[in-house]
Parts: sequence; C-alpha cells; structure tokens
Amino acid sequence: VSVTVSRVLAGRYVDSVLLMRLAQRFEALDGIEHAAAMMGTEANKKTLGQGGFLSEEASTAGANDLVVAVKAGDHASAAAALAQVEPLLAEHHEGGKPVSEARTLEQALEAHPELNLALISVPGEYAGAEARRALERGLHVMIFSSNVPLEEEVELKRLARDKGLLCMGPDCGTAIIGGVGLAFANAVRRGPVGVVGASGTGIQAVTSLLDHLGVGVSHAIGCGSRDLSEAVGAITALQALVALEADESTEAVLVLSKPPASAVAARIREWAARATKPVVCCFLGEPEGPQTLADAALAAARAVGQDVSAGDLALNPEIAAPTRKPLAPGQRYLRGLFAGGTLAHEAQLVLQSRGIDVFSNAPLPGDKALDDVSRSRDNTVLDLGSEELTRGRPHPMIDSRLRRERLLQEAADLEVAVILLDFVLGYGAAHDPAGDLTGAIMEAVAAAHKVGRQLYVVASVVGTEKDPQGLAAQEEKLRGAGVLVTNTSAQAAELAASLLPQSDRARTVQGVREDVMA
Amino acid sequence: MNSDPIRSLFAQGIKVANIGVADFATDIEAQQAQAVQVSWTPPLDLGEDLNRLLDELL
Repeated sequence: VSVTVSRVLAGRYVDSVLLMRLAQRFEALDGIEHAAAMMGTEANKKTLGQGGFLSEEASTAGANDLVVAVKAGDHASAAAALAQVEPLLAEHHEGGKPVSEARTLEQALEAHPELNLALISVPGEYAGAEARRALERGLHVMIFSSNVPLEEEVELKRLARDKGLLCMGPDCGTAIIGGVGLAFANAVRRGPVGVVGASGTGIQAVTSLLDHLGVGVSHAIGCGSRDLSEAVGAITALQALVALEADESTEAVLVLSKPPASAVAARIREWAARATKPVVCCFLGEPEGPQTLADAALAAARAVGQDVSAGDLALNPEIAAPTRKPLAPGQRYLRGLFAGGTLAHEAQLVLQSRGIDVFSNAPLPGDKALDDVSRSRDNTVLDLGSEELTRGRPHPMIDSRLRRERLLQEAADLEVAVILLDFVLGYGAAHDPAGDLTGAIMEAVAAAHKVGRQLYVVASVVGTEKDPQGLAAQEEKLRGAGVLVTNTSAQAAELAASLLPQSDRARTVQGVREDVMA
Repeated sequence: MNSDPIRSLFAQGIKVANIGVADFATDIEAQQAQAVQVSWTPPLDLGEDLNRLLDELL
C-alpha cells in the first residue's frame, strides 16, 4: 500500500521551473511513485487535493510556502526523499545562479541604471502589478505570464504606449531583440527580417525556418496572444510595426497570428499597404496570405530578396511515403499532443483542409470543442500549453510529464493509429525535449505491436543547430525511437492525415506522391 | 542618444531585469547579454494601505 507524506517549508518561494525540476528529481528517487512540488496557493492546494497530496499541514500553507509531497511504496522511502528537499534546493540554486541578483526592482535599477527591459514570469495574478511598476520606471516589459485579466492587459498596454515603451504580452512566450532571445527563443542568425507576432511558437517556427533558409532576423516582437483581439486593438503590434519601419536593420516585416479580430486585421493590412518596406501578413486560417508557417517563412525570405522555393523545405521521399504496415481493424484516429499552441492551430487547419473532423481544447471555427479535456474523442488535437492546462504547472515545453502521461493514454486507445507531436527547442525549453518522450514513445509502440496494432508517431521539431539542444541530435533521437520526423509542422500534420485509413487513395505530401495504403 | 525608447532598445540592445523564472536570466547571460535577477516572492497580504506603505518604503 502506498503512503503519501508531505512537508511544508514556510517562507521558501521557488519559481515554477525549479518546482518542476524538484518534482522530477524526487520521482527519480528509489521507492517514489509520484511527487509534487508546489507553492501553497489556493489553486495549487486544490490541485494537490485532487491528487491526494494535501495533508493537514499542507492545507495551511500560503503562497510563500513550498509544499513538497511524495507518494512512496513505504514510509522509509518517503522520509528519505523528503530529507533531500533542502540539499536539492541548494544544489539547484547554486547550479544555475545568475551572475547578478537584486532583492527588488528598485535595487536592481539603483545598481544597474542601464537596465531597459523587465522580463516578468511570476504567477499571473501578480504579473500586472510587476509590469506596471517596471513601466512606471521607464522599462519596456515582456510579460511571459498568462492568466492576466484582459482589462489589466489593456491598461498596461495603454500605459506603455503613452510612455513610448513596449509591453510585450501578457502570455508572450518569445521575443528576439538585437539577436538576443528572451524566454522561449531559438538561436537564429541576425538579418533583415523583422517579425511581429501574437503567436509564440509561431514566431519560433518561422524564425527557425528562416534560419534554415539562410535568412536572419533583426528583431522579433512578441505581442501576447490577445494583442490582436478587438479589446486590445493590436496596441503592441502597431507600435512594433512603426518601430520596425524605422529600424535600419530591418528590410521586411512578417506579421504572424491566428486570425485577428476582423477590424484589427483590416487595420494592420491598411498599415502594411502604406509601409515603405514589404510587410507579409500571415493570419493562419484566413484565405489571404501564407497558409502555413513554412509558407510565411518562405514569403518573408523572398521579401528580402532571398532566392528560395518550397523545395528548400521539402521532405525526404522516404519520410513522405514511409513503408506502411496494415492497421488493425478499428484503428482510424489520430491524436495530436502539442506543446505549441500555434502549431496545434496549424495542424487543425491542415487536417480540416483534408476533410478530417477534429476535436480540440482550442478548436477552430468548424471544429468541435472537447467537453472534457482529460479524454480525447475520435480525431483530437490538444494544445497542452493552454491556460487551463498550465495553471499551477510549467509549460509543456519545459515539463514533459503531462504529455508523457497523455501519450501513453492515447496510444493505449485501440482506435488510435497515429500520434502527432511537436518538439520545440531553444532557450527556455527543456534540456532534452526529444529524450524526455522517446522512452514513452517506444513503450507505446511496443505495447501496440504486442496486441497486433500498428502505431505511427509523426513529429516536427522547431529549432536550429545552434540551439542548446541541437536540432540534428534531437531529430536523430526521435528517428531512433521510430518517429517519422518532418521538416515543418504542416508537413507533420499532412503526413499524419495521410496515414489514416481514410487516405486509402493517392495523396500528395509536399509534392511527393504517396502509394496507397497497404 | 535616441529619444524614442523603442529605437533606443533596438539600437542599444537589451539589458534585462528578470523578475521570475531564474533560468531566463541565465539563458540571457549565455547569449552574452546583461541580466539581473530580481528576487521575487508573492507580496504579503497586509491590506491595501500597508501594502502601499511597504511599496513606498522599498
């Protein structure tokens, strides 16, 4: 019988990434079945309670108190694990310690008056106040945090605009300013393309593809997922467009987003038409403009005079038309498990264009919303980085645990034929995103084979060779686990669609004719 | 000196006060840019007046 034991460290605040690492380290200890490390906020205590981790002591914890709980095979293992809390905290603290530290923003500015941007990644309920404090002191802000109220976002962006400052976010996952990536960003070459986007993984995908095409980025300004909504009115995007128009290092601009509010889209297109530099607008899902992230990267490369074609991103024919084995009777669905919201959006667009109905927690118009996010239905595409799935836990680009569990759950469904995944490399992301899932992938495929099923796993990897994880090494690791790895996210969705039994007719994937299903 | 703060940001490069996830600061430093980690903890709930006073003192 398992035992659950917890410990509260009062007044010990730990950021979400370190919490995730602590939980992972505990789970690797002998005799530990499951571990949780969270700050004692009301929402987190609710989550701990749902997992059976909320002890009487933990129920009294506050937002500044660290709660560590383990489920173990016996009391001795649990006690040994909890005795490791402080050594592990000390080890992590020393290991990745930044060079300079300050107790408050005011102290930081006093010691370093040259600071010009605040990167804010505190829990959403506190992020607005921190952003306001920074703006009032004349700093640009990038708010990585999500779950900031919309009204507060509008107020912050108006305040920033009045001061001539940028307010990137809330819910802004990426930016590159003068070659330096912030939060989730890829190591891409510098060059003439400026990017403005309300789509974090979309920006990462196009900047990485541009790098692959030999084209660099001047600046990439993330605006936050709601900037192009009617309520916000593209305050940050329009500021960024004006700034990039004036920027000498920028020759063309790519604007990237899921479809904006129609009035906002019209305003941006109107601005683009008047700009002196080429502006490519990619509003994924709108008939006008590039239809995929890869098309957007190609269009931006052409806009700065690079001689590129779709062939530069074409798939190896062996991947486009893999050796196929018959599916078992009843195997007919795909399940997409995405870390990147825009990549999930693009996959739905591709599948929809192939006549495949999709359920999702972030459905497109015409697709179906999942009633219960914990259970997929038929063909399902999940954005695992959505706000409802990241409350109180790190983003799946950092923490693969949720996706690993979900992958095994989906793969065990006898009706599932294809698992579709994305992997996003770069600064801020997990140290080994591919390696975090290959064990689960191989386990899932082996389990399927054991009962006479074929299970295809298709994936794309966003990143560059210069990223800390290295693109080629990550792709090779996935191929080693039997994953069909494509060059772009749209190709992955195309290939996944072609592997479903509905595709027992000739299809074309990126110009390569596929054979009919075996 | 450029008087437009965004143009100045583009021209001078980023110098970051990182409030939150410490890994973001170390990633910025790994790219040879400046980052200062601001120790952050949730504010104590002292009530509006005391919180404002504390803010002023800090």
